[in-house]
Amino acid sequence: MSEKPNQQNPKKGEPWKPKEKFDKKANKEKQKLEQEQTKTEAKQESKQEESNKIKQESNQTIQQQNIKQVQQQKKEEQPIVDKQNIVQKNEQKEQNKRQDFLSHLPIFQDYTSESIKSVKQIDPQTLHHSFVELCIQYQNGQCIGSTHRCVEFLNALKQFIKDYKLSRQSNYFAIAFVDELKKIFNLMKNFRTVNEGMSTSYLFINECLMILRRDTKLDENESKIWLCNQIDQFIQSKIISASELIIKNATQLIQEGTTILVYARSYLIENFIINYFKQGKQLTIFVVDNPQFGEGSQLVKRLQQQGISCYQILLSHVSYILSKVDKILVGASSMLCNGALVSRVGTALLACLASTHKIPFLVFCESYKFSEKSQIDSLSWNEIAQLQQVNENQQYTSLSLRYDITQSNYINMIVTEVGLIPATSVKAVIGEFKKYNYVDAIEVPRKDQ
Amino acid sequence: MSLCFSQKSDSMSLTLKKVLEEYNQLNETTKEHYAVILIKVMINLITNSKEMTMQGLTHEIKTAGEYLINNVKAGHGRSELVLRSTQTIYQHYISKGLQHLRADSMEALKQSLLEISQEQIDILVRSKDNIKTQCLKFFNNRFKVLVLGYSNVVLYSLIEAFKAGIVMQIYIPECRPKSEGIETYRQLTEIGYPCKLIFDSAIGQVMEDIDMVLTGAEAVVENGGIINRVGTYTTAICAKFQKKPFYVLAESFKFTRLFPLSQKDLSDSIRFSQEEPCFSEKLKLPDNLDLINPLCDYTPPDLITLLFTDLGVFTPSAVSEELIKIFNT
Repeated sequence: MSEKPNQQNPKKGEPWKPKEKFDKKANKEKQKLEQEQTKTEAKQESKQEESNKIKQESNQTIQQQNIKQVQQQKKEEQPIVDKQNIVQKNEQKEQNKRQDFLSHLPIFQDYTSESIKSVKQIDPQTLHHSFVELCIQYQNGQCIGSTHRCVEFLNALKQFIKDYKLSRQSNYFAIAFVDELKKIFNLMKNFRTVNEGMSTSYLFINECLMILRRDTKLDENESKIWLCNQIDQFIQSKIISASELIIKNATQLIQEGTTILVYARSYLIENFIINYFKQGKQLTIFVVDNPQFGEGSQLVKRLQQQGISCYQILLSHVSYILSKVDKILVGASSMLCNGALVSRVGTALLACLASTHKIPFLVFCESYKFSEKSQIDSLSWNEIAQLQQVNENQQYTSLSLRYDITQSNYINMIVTEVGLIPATSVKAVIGEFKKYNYVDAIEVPRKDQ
Repeated sequence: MSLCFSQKSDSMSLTLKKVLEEYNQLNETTKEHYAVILIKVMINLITNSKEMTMQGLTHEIKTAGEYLINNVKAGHGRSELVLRSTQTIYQHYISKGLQHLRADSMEALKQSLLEISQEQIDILVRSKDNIKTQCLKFFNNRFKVLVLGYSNVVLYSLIEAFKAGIVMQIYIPECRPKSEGIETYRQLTEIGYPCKLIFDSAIGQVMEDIDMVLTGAEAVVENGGIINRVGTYTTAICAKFQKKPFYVLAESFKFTRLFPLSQKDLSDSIRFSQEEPCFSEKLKLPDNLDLINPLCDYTPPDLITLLFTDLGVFTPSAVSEELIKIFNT
């Protein structure tokens, strides 16, 4: 979910839409700067890479260090753009970290538009520019929130499909593109963890390609158009109309005058509150903020723009306000098969408190984020947000993770577009959707004549 | 044009009145289950209907159903919920049937709708027996069972168990304010069951001797909780504290798409009954008595051990899966 400060707030008064593409100009300028700087270092870099290729398989970290060194040089010249760039780069400490109990979790480097091409899975010639842009957005926090990330991924993929040219050896678009899609999906794993929404959309596109391959005789151009249409349909039905339906369901569910408590910033909840107030109904809102990511204050700001007043409290202060609260609403990164909720860190704590105080705990989640995985603890899969050692004399390591797991017995209800369901029936919903290929029955394209 | 409309609404109100009369008559004369009566009334409605279009017919069925729900008492002072859930599921099967049908004429269409309705009645009639067979596995000689309220299915299962030679000691709370416990007591003692009537306030005291609690339900909600006559929640809490199993016997047509999270989420007609409760004449009641008299309460799923339905024996969490199956297919 969204963790880092959001640089672009959606415009005032608009209903929720997947965010418009971020400011391309700014990004291009940034890229130019980077390119100029890297030109001088390009030779050096390539030499390093050659020598590294031998070691790559045995030790991937060395390569990453090289990239980091390059970046560090750049950063000395460049003003610090983002909080995340302060991740420390000392190689010895890097190795220390990898031996502790979080060693299995991936650490995501800062990539620039140049250094992305040095990631080993990809061939720099074929990488489409839309993905380079996307990866940078993932990195610098312009593209945050699981919904937003998924929509941007699909948009980039559409762009890529339009520009994709079939190589001469292969005759069928569908066959060639399956491999290409797989490559891209693996690439995305290098920048942020791939969220459940993206996995579902990946499965969906794969399904579409299967149909293309099996049932139809469309030529290359027609296949492209059809596939793009299918992606559009996915975004429309699974993301946009789903969120509208959820907001509608929630509006019926929550009576006027209720005191609600929301945690951090979720697009669904934000839009639900705004929509609710637009209908002229009143709510008392407590916004809980986690000071590390500061999402709560973003939500407060956004609500204030809309003229909605609310109370802001820190996560550590929740317990004393909880007796005044009627319902707790949280967003989700994904819902797992065993009914567990994966969401931003702190949600599990809130759920435990809610269960002690017997306050209904409601999760807002679109059904495309439901996952077939199941997980019991937060450590076996997670994402490291920041792992800092300020200096060598320091005896402790401060660490923080992005997500945590809330067990199903703490969740009273999931608000989805298919209705209100208890946490235990995530599995049943997944089963229903698999019958319909995740969206609806996919129409088999037939060539005219 | 307006004349045409008024004529239509006149004929509609006529049919509604007829439907209501028919329901009340059947309810008085026969001893059948209210859900069966509801569908039988609907069958009559379909056969006598003069509507010429499919849409008109479905609309007529829908309005008649709504009218019945709002105007009919389902016997033994039950709330509107029991009829509503039956009506919803029936409606769902009708519309599902219409989607798949390819009838040539209106007559053929009506015929197939009647078939669907008849099928529903068969399922309803059979469901009691199914539940009984599921239950018998759980009953044992010399069990001490607390039976809550008056429920057709519970009574039927207990009587069948008695016929099969399983004799259990039964404790029956009085179930104020409507005192249905007394009716249960009467029917069970008639066939020779050893029964003991207890006051509602004594439930906690009796609970530690009990082996299991049996109750019916007016509605089974989406998370596996139940809505039942007031007092069920209290008993469930007692049973939970003493770690006694709390079993619910409910037919699958009682599954509803409601999702209450607390008592406040129930509708006002259920929470506040308008009926005058009867007090003993010996009590000297003060004037202007300000009384809260809820009809039903909501028992959350964590207090329920198992639900016996005609589809099988479920844990509360499995109910919502069944509901998704019913309404999504």
